[in-house]
Amino acid sequence: MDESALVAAAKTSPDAFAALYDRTQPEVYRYAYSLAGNHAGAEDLTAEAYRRALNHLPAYEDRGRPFAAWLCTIVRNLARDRGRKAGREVPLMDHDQPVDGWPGAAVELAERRTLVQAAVARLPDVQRQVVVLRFGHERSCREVAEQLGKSEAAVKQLTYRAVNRLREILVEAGYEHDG
Amino acid sequence: MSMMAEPEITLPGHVRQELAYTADPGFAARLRAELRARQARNTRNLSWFEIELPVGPIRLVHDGELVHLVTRDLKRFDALAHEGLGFEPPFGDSRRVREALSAVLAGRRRGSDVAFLGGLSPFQQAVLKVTATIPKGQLRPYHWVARHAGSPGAVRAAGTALGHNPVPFVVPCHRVVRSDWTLGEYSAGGTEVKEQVLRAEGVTPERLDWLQHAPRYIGQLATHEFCLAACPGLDEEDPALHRPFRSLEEALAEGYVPCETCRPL
Repeated sequence: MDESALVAAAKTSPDAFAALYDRTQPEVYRYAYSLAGNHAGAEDLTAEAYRRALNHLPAYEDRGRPFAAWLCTIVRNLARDRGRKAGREVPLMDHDQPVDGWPGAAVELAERRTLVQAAVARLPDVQRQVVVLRFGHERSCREVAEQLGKSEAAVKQLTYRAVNRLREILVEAGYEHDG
Repeated sequence: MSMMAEPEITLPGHVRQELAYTADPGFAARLRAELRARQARNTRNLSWFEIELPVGPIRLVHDGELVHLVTRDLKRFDALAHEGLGFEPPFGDSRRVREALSAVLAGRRRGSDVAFLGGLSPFQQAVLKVTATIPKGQLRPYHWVARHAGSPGAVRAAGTALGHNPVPFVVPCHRVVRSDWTLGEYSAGGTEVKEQVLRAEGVTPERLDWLQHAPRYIGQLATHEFCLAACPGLDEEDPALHRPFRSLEEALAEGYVPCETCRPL
């Protein structure tokens, strides 16, 4: 389904909104993380941005811009308001992502999805979860096991398989790796 | 099993950096369900079905994934629905929700994971999430819930939050009782119903009577751990193995550590 149709459907359908969330969440979260500099802050910004988007959705006019760009604008405004409230500037961690000239940058960000993200997206569900938690969130095997309701041995095994598979996909895609 | 150390599995730094920009899958899934539930409420895409419990039928309003409202008061359902949701949903079954409910009622899943709590205050959400961790057949006092919800002083407020639990049975507010282990109030039908629900989970009147005469905290001489009197790990038959404490401070001052099963602290 093309995005405009999905946005229109999401105004009356919970499942369509969930599908819209699935489509946009990786980009929105990535942007929130770049502003917050940590996962707790990024989760907070992402959740709040989607709640606001939901409230304003009935009045949302689709002008051909990606839906994620609108959400990123909301994230940016929330981060700015919070930075102001805390009496300091919000750290901008993502130095390679210019925020000047917004919202164009969100579109660009969407287009510049890295090979790594694409490769991770191709992993089977469980392997992807394990890799994201172990290496993206730096959780221990024990913590991941607890969160996913698996044994530590199973998580170790999954990590091993996932990393190998990821290497294969990346090498296939022409990604140079140094290990 | 091999005695050789397992090789450390790792990824190049720049790959790890890319992964760091990805949301925790648990967070992403919870937020998805919450947003779907909010939109279901906004667009009136909710329905209800009933299930039979030992205390009679209960009616559950759901969005096909999460439960929004639970009541035993079938006669006042229209009023409750208007008050809680702003409209009266129609009948509509859901296999997925039924399966989730069986898992919750059997103690295999936490009720807070299958309920929509997004419309409540952060404190009320915290209280209900803590309550959902109390295992089937066990009891905890209001002060325990308040402490674990992050506000040890807010015992009354915790009671109020539980009194307004929109999803009784799914979030088992019946497992929360007074500090003296008397049952206290129950919004889904009063003390008698609370007693019936607990009895169906294996909490007998004899057990309650034992608790009401037990010290507030009990230290285990063998392990130097201290527990709530209601801890399932305590051997209530053998008081010679116990050391009574009136307060947390007293137990801690004696060098006892909190039990990990009942988590008194």
